[in-house]
Amino acid sequence: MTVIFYQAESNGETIEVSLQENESFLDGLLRSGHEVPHGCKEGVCQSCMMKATEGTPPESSLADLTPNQIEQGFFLCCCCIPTDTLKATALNQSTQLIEAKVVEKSALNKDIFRLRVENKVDYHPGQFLTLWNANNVARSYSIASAPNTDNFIEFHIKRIENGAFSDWAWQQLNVGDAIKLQGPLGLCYYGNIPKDQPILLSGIGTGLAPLFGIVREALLKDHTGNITLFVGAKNSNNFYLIKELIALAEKHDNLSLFFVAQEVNKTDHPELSSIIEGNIYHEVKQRFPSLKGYKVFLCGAASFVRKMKSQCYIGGTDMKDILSDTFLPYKP
Amino acid sequence: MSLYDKLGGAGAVDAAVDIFYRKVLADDRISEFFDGIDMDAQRTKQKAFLTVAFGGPNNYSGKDMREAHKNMSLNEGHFGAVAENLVATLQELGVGEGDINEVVNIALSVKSDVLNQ
Repeated sequence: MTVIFYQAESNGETIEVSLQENESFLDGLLRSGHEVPHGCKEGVCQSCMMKATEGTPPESSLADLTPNQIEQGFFLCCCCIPTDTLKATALNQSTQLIEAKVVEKSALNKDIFRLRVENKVDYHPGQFLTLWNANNVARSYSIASAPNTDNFIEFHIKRIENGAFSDWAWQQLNVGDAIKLQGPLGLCYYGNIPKDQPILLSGIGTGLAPLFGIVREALLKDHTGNITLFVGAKNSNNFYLIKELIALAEKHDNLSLFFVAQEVNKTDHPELSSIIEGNIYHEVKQRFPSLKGYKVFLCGAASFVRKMKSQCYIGGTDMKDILSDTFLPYKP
Repeated sequence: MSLYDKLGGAGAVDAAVDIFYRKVLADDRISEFFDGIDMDAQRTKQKAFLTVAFGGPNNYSGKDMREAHKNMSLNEGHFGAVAENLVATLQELGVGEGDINEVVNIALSVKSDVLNQ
């Protein structure tokens, strides 16, 4: 049986918990009734990061941490199933969180809204930030804005009924209120790719947010290669941001857009010349049987990213040229 | 000259791994075993396997191979499909028949571990 120790505040009480078999550091603390900041429980959002003061955190709890963080003993307690006694303290979050005021909140479609906050963080479009609300609930959202042209940071948030963050933000967060930002994180962004490399982007749901940011970044950097964006949805009434995308495509000859929905209502989006009724995997494959030499960006639910990644790789894309961001649902 | 050197060493493995892994992923007989796995990690494992099959330097451990494939209910047909893809990869790379046979013989030597026999 592994014993862990946790100190939430400096000079505060040290909690001792005996972990059950295969129980994570985080789950052990939660089970014994202690409050610990956390978000995704998948080692992605990094909101449960702690600092080890005695013992060595396992490799699995170090995913995506920088060498500097690892050297300092940082680890993600949600992915930490220690085999030996481990002692940790909470990070001084105040040094890591940045307050930003909400500057806009508006509906983008029936279940997605746009949240814009003051631009107080250096980021690449496509990365994500973890947002903290007044109740210490943390959720990660991708960044849809571009730092060189927008004086705000934009998120696209899907409203989840009774969602601890999304519903709170929709119902209670107002322009002028402050929220806290942590990050940015993520490697799915434009970066320094050859200007003439063809780009394929594909996303479903609010996976469009980071892709929209990446497309704008590519165009701002005068990307000359073809850029093709496939937006997928279950129903055509789930599409959003269509006017903005069409405006971009009208201005830039090298940008092509495809909207693919499993069910199409003829009356949705009259501004769109065509919505493809079908399956996004099939549509991409049919139009791009070979993806050799492409840079690929994929964002959305895990099953979508996995399947599309496999398809693009089989289609000839180098593994290192496939960048993706997987959206994870919160698991209580 | 060893088989590994004759095939082109690490460069040959690099050339082969993507051709091979793509064939495996696209093969309906076995692709389902690769659903939902970390593709980057799997590609690294495929490289390790090809290094073994090409007679190269490796820390091949039958125990790891056995452990990795247990509970997958693999049968001769699955093993045969992988072997076919391996042969097709080598043919695509222009490897001669004699060398291909040698690679296949090495691959066959891991069969009992893979199938947990």
